[in-house]
Amino acid sequence: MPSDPRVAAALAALAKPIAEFRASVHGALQQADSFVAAHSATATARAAGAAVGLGKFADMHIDAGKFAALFPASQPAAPDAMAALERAIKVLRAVTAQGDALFVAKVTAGKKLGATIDAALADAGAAFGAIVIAELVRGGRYNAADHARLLDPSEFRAWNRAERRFAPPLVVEVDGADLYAGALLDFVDGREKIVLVVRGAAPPAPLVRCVTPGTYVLQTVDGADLEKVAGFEGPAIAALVPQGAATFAHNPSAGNETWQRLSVTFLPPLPTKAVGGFSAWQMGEDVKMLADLARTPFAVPGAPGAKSAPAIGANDAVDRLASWLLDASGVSGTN
Amino acid sequence: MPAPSATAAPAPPKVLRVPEHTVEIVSDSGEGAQKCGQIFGAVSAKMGNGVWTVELIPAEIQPPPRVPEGASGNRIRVGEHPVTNWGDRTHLVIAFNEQVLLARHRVDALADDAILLVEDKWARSDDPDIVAAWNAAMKELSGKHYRIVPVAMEDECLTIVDNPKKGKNMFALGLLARIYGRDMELIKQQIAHAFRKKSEEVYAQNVALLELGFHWAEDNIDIRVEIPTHPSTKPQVVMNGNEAIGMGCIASGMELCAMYPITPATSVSHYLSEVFEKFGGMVHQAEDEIAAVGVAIGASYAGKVAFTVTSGPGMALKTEFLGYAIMTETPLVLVNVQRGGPSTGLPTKVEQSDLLASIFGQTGDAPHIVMAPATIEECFHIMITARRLAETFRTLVMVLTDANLATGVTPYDKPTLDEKWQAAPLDLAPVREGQKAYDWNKETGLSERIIPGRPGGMFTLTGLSHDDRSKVAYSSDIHQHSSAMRSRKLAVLQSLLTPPTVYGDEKGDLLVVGWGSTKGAIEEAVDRARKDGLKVSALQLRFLSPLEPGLKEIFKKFKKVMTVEINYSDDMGDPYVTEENRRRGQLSILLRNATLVDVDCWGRVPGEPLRPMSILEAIRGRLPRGGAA
Repeated sequence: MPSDPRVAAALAALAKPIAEFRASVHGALQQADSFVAAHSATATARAAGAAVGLGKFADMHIDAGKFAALFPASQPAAPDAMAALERAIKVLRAVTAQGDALFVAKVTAGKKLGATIDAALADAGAAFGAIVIAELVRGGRYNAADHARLLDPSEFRAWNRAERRFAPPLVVEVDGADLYAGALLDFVDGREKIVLVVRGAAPPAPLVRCVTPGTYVLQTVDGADLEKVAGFEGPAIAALVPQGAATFAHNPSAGNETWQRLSVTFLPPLPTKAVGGFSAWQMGEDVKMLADLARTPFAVPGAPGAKSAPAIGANDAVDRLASWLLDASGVSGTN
Repeated sequence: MPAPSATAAPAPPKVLRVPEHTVEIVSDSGEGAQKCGQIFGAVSAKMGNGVWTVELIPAEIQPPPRVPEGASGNRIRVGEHPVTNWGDRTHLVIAFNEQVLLARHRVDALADDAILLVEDKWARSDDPDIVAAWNAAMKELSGKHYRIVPVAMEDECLTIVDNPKKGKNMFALGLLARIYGRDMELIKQQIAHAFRKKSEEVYAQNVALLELGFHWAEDNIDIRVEIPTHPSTKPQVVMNGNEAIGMGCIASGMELCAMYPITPATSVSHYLSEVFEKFGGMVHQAEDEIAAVGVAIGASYAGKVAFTVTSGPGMALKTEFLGYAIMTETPLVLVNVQRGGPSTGLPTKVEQSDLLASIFGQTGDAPHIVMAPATIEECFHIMITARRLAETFRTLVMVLTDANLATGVTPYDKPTLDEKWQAAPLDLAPVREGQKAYDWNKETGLSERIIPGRPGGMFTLTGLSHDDRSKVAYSSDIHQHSSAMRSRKLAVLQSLLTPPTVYGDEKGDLLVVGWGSTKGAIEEAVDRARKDGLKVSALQLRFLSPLEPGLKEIFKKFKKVMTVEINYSDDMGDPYVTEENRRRGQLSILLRNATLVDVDCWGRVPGEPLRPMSILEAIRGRLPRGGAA
C-alpha cells in the first residue's frame, strides 16, 4: 500500500485506464497460455477440451476425439517461435505480478523526473513487445531475425502509435524541488496519463508549461477532477500540489481558444523565494504565463460613472484573473 | 338447467394417491389463468414432482369473452417421476366460465371422470342468453361422467377485491394448493417473484386471495390428490424452452440477439432484454425480419457472436440473407420457434412443418446445419453446440424448436457452466502471410475464418460467386469448386457425428422415428406398447442436416420404420391418395432419400402437442392385427 494517501487516491482515479492496460496484458497472457497448452496437449486432453467446448448437447452426438483431430486448437509453430513465446509469457507474467506497483514511480535522490518516468514506462511497456510476439507466434508470422528484439526494453520514445494509445497510466511521487515540468513533455502523446504527487515545497504553477491545445492539464490540491484526467481521450498531466500553489485545469474540449480551455481557480501571489533549483523569477514567470493564458482577450468598458470596469462575465474565474492582473500591474480599475 | 349444487356439509375428504395427475386452469384471455398455472407448476417442481406445463393460448390476441375459441390457460401434468410431455387427458379443471370448459371438452382434452371446478355465477346471470348458454353447456357436458363442482369464485373474491377479474386466478391457485397439498410458503415466494415489480399492497392482496381459495377448498371440496414427491438431490432450474434458449445464448458467449417480434419466438428476446446487458450482450430489435438477420450477419462478419430468432413467416422473409450467410461463410445461428403454417397460419400453436423449408428453403445450393433439441433442457445446451459449429464450419446453423418447447415449463438439472463456452470467437492475431479469405482445404471444404479488423484480414465480402480470395468470379470451374467446398462441410460434420441411440431394443417390428419436441410423447407411447408386449422402439434425431450417420443400418433391424411428426401427411386410404402421390411427413421424406428404406409416416397437425395415446394408436395401426400381442 502506498504510504501517501494521495497516491492511493490517484490510483483510484486512474482505475479505468489501469484496468484497460491490465485487460490487454491479461488477454494476451491467456491467449498465449492457451496456445502453449494446446501445443503440448495429448490427443486425450485435446478431445476432452473439444468436448467441453462443444457442450453437453454434443456429448451423445459428436465424437470429440475426431473433432479435436480435425480442428486443432492452435496452429503449428516452429521451436524458435515457441521459445520466443515462452519468453514473452515470462515478461507478461512479470508485468502482471507487479500489481499496482507497476503504475507507481518515485523520483529518488539523484534521479531526474524524466528518467524516472522513462524507466517506469519502459518497465510496463515491456508488455507491448511481449504481446506482439505472442500475436506473431499465434498467427504463424514469427521470424526470429526480425522479431527477437521486440522483447528488448523499449522506452516511450520508441513506442508506436497503437502502443501510445494503450499506454499505462503512471502516478509519480516527486519532491517539489525536482519538479522539472519540461521533462513531462516527452510523454505527452497518445493517451498517456501521468499524475504527479508533489511533496514538500514546490513551484506554484509548474504544469503551465505543459499546456498545449490537445493536452489535459490539471493542478489540484484536493484531487478534485482527477477522474476527468482518467477519462480524457488524449494525453493528460496532473499534479497534486501542496496548499498555496496555483490550481487550474486546461481542458482541450472546452473551446478553441486557450482562455476558453483554461480555468484557473486559484492564482497565488508571485513567489519571492527560490525552491530548490527554481529561482523566484523562474517560478514567477510560470505564474504570469498562467495568468496570461487565461486572460479574457477583451474587456467591457465601464459604464459612465461606474467605479470599475468589470471584465466579461464578472463572476467567472477568468474575470477574477483579470482583476488580479490589473492589481498586479498597478492599474486597478478606472479610478 | 340449474347449476349443480355445491356439497353442503363436506364429509372427510377422499384422498386419491396417484403417480400423476393433470390439471388445467382455463379462462378468457387476460384473467390470469396462465399465471396461476405457471405458479402451480413451478411450485410442484420445487417440491420434487416431475412437471410439464403447456400454455393453452387462443389463436386470436384478444378474442371476445365467453367463447370456446377464447380459452386461455395452462395445462400442468404433475408426476411422481420426471414428466416428458403433456400426457393424454386432464383430470381436474378449474374453469372461469362454462364456455372455455366446453372448448376443452370438445377437443377431447378431459378424462371421462374429470373433476370440473367451474365458476357458477353465469348460472345466476340476469342475462337470459348467458343462462341459456350455461344450461346448454351443462347439457353438453353431461354426456360424460364428469364431476362438476360449482364454485362461486367471483362472490368470494369480491370480499377482498373490487375487480374479481384481477384476483380470481389467485383464488383458483388457493383451491389447487389445498387439493394438491402444495407448500403455501413456496407459493407465496412465487407470488412475490411474479409481482416483484408491483407494490407490497398488490402482493398482500394476492396472498389474501390465495388463502381465501385455500380455505374455501378446505371447507367445500371433498377431494385431495396426493402425488409422491422426490426432491432432487441436484440443484434444479425451472423454465420454459424460450427462456432456456435465451440462457443458453448467454452461456454460449453470444453477444448479440438481433430479432423482430414474432409469436411464439418473441419471449426469447423478452427474457434476454431483461438480463443480456448484464452479461455484456445486447438485444437489437430491428425494423423488420430482414433487417434483423442482416444485423446479425454484419455483427458476425465483424467478429462478434450473433444470433437471430424467429418463427415460420419470419424465416421466409429472411431467406435471401440466409443464403448470403452461407455464400459468404459467415457464422450465424438462427433459432426458428416453429408454429402452425403455411403463411401466418397458427401463430400460437405448435407444429413441425418448417423442417424441409429450413433445410431446402434457400435459393441456389445452400448447404447448412440444421439441429433440433428434443427437450427444454436441450434448448439450453444446444446453443453452446450451435455456436461452436457455426464458427468452426463457418456456416449457418439453424436450431428448430417449436411452440411446445417454447412455452412448456419443466425442471431440469442446473447446468454447470464452463468458461470455454465464452471463448472469443477467433484469435485476433495478425492473419498469416498469404492467407486467403477462403483458404478452402480441398478435402474438407473448411477454411480459417478471418475478420477485417485483424491485420491482414481485409477482404471484400460478396454474395456473388467468388474465388478463394473473395474476388467475384463467374468462371464455371470456380463456381463448381466453391459449391463443392461449401457442400463438403456437411459431409465432414456427418463424419464427426455418432450414430443415434435407439430407445428400447435395437431390433423389432417397428421403429418410431421422431425429431424435436415429440420425444417425450413418442417414448411414453413406446413404453406403453412395450408393456403390452409389442416389439417397438424409438429413435429421436437431433441432427437433421446433415442427418446422423448409421440410420440405414439401424433401420435394417426393424421390420417397419415410421416417423411421427407434427406436420401434415396424407394417410393411405384417403381419397385419391396413392403410394406415388402420397405427401409424406417431412422427416420421412428425408429418411427415405438418405437411406432408400421405405419409411412410413404418421403426422397430425392438431395445433397442440401429440398425445401418447394417439401415437400408441398409430403404432398399433402399423402392426399386424392392430398390435394385438
